[in-house]
Amino acid sequence: MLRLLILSLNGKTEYMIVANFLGKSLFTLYVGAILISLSSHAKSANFDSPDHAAVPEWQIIKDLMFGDRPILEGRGKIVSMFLNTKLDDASTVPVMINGDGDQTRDSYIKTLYVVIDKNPIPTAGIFHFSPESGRVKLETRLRFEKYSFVRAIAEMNDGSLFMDQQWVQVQGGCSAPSGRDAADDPLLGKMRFRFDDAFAINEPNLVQVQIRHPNESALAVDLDPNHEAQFLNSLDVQYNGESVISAEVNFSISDNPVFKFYFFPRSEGELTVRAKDTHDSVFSESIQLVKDHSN
Amino acid sequence: MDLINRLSHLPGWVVFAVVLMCVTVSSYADDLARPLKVVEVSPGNYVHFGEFPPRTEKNMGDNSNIGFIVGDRCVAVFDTGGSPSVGKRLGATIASVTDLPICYVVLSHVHPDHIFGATSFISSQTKYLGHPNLPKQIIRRKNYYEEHLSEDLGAEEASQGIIDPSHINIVDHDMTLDLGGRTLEVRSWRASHTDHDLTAFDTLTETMWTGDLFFCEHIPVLDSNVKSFSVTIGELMNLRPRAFVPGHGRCKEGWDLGLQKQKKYLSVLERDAREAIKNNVSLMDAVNTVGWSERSKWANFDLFHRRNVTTAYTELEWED
Repeated sequence: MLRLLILSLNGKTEYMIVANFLGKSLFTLYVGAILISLSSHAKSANFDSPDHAAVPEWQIIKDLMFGDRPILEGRGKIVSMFLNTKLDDASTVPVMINGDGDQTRDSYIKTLYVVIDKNPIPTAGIFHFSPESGRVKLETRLRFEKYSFVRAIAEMNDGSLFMDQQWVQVQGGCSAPSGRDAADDPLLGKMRFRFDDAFAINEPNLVQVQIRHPNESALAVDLDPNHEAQFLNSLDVQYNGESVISAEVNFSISDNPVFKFYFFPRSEGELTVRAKDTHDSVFSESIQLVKDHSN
Repeated sequence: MDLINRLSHLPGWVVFAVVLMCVTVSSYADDLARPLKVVEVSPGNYVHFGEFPPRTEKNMGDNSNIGFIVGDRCVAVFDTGGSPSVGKRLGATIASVTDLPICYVVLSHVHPDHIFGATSFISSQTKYLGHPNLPKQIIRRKNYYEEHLSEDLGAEEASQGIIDPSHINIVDHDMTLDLGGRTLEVRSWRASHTDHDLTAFDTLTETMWTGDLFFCEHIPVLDSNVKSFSVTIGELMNLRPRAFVPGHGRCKEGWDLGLQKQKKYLSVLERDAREAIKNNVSLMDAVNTVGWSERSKWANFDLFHRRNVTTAYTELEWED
C-alpha cells in the first residue's frame, strides 16, 4: 500500500489532489510519515545479513582492486576473520584475522587487504607480510560508518586470492567523534609494546603495538574549517632491520591504533615500529628483546 | 456533503491515504500542545521523567529526565528532551504552570536525548548555558546526530537541527542565576559522564539537578573517563541535597545509596578492565566479561555496557 502511494504521489496530478484537500504543510507532514515508515522498513531489512557478493560497493571495489581475478572462499583454509558483529561501539570494533597455515617460503600470505564496503575509504588497511613472519595474525580495531561487510582478503605469494567476510551491524563510527578530546595530547605518538608470552627465539612471538594518535576521521567536523584531518597512513615494523609488516592504513582504524601480530626472531635484537601520519609527522619507537625478557 | 461527494469520485487508495493522513497528522499536532506529565519534586522544581532509551517514533526522543525551576521573576529550564517535539511539549507544560518568561536554559551536555529540544526555546529573553567544551562538542557531533535523528524520528524533527553553538553562554566554573526569590547555582565539572557536564542546584529548596552525572535504574553511560567520573561521584556524595533529579530513572533508594550503586558499577568496570588488560585479555573478549557481574542491577545493560567497557578499557590500557 505504501509503495503504491509513493509511486503515485510522485505524479503531479495526485500531488495536486492531496494538496488541494489538505494544504501543503499537512502534505509535507504526511510525506514525512511515509519516509519514517520507509526508513524503519529499510532498517529491519538490514538486520538480515545480505548476500555479500551482491553488495554494489563491493563489486566496484573488487573490480578496481583485483580486476577479474577469482577470489576463493578462505575461511578455515587460508584466512579467517573473527569479531563481535553486534552492539559494539562503532568507533572501536575489535577484529582478529588469522592466517590458517604457517608462512613458508613456498606458500605464504604476501598481502592482507582489509575492506569495509560502506566506509568513506573502503580499504581500511593493506598489510604486507614476509615469509619470515612465521604465522599471520592481525588484530586491530576498526571504525564502521554504516552497516557493512568487512572483508579480509589474503593474496598468496603465487597471486591467488582468498577471502573471509563478516556482516557488522554498527554505524556512525567514522562521523561520530570519540568522547575523548585528543587535541594537544601530551602522549601523541607514544607507543607501547605488550607481549603475551616470554620472548622466544626461532618461533613466532606475538606482540601488540599501541600508538597514541587521534587517527581523526575526515568526517568529524571541527571548529576550524582549515583543519585537515590527521590520521596515520603508513606503518612499518622491522625486526633487526628486516620487514615484519608494512602497511598502508587510514581513519578506518580506531583512535589510538592497536596492532597485534607475529614476528619470528632468529636471534636477540631490536623490534622497531615506525608510523607516519597525514601531517607528515613520523613516530618511531624500538624495543630491545633479549632471551630472558618477559612482560 | 459536497466534500463526501467529491471524495467518492476518488480512487479508493486516495481516500484511504487521506483518512490515514488525518489520523497521523492529528495525533502529531495534539502531541505538541499536550503538556508532559510532571512531578513537583520540591516547591517550584518540576520534573518530567522520560522513558528509557532507545529513541523510537513512539516516545519521540522523550528519553531523559527534564524539567524546570520557577522563580518569582522567571523560569529556568534544565535539559530539553530528545526532539523539538518534546521541547515544545515542555514549553507547553511550563505555560500551563506559570505565565513567567523562560530566562535560562541549562544544557547538561551534548547527548541527543537531552539537547534536541533546545531549539524550541529560542527567544530574545532566553539565555542558554553550557560547559566550556559544549560548543566544540556540538560542532563535532552535529552531522552525525542530525542524520540519525532524521533516520529515527523523520526529516521533520531533524529539520531545525541541533542548537547552534552561538547561542551558548559559557559557564567557566560556576555561575549564579537569579530567578527572583531563589537562585540557581550552575556548575561545570571535570570529565565525568562526558567531558562537558553541567549541573544546577536550587539554593532555596536545596534541589540538585545532576544531568547524567547520576543514573538511577538505567545503567550509567560512560562517554569520557572512568577514573575521573568516580572522583566526581565521590564529590557528589558529600553534597547531600534535600531533593534531586537524576539524568535518567527514579531513585527509590535515595541520594547516598543511589550514588553508591553507581560508584560500585564504575569501580567494578575499572577493576575488571584493568585486570583484563594485565592478563592480555583482548578488548574483543573483555566486552563480554568485564563488569558483567553488575548485569542484574541495571536496565539497558545489554544496550550500553559493552560500550562502557570499550571506553574504560581503551582509557586504562594507556595507564602507567
